[in-house]
Amino acid sequence: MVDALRSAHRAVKRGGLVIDARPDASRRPRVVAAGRVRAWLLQSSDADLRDDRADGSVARLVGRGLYRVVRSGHVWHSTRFADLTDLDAYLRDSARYAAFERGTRPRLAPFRDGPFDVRRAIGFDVLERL
Amino acid sequence: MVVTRHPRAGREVRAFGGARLFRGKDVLDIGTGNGRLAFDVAPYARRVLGIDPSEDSVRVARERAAAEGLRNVEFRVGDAAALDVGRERYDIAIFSWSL
Repeated sequence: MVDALRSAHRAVKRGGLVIDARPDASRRPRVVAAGRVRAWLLQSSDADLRDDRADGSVARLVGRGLYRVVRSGHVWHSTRFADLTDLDAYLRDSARYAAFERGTRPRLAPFRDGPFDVRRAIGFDVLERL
Repeated sequence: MVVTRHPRAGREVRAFGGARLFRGKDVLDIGTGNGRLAFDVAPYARRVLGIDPSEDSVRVARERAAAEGLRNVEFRVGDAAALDVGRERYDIAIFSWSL
């Protein structure tokens, strides 16, 4: 990740911008059924580790004077799933999300025929290339 | 039936700064995948280069660019840690879910 940021530093003009955008697990991803939040998703420990490393890489290169953080923010994404089987299959295959938060999946059972919307926050930092 | 797994990037692009940020700029989309974000930046940017290690993803992105007749978008197979852009320099680089 440090290598990728260094590589981007070479490819971007001085004073240009590098934007790092990733799902923000600190804002819990949620499952909406019939217009209300019914459950939440847990990120995998691997994804937590990758995010920590990415955050550390950004902080390291900011500390070394290669970049300066000029703005941060987040935006919510919504992804639709046809029914509970579809959502379960996604969680089995996802490299980022591991499971439902404890005790929340049963709340989806009455709505098992869907649709479900998974809403997740995408956090971003806008970095100036120094 | 799944409606979508990869939401359009329009909201992200607007949150980053939208037309005001990207208009007339040379943009590098690192880890572009199937070009999800590159295609939403393209209407504003002077040029967008999407780079991804997956040949399959790049092929899909190229096919879409060709189908839509986009002339300011290019996709290449490449590694984020060793970007091969020669002497080209960009105004903006985006790591979209790829760092």
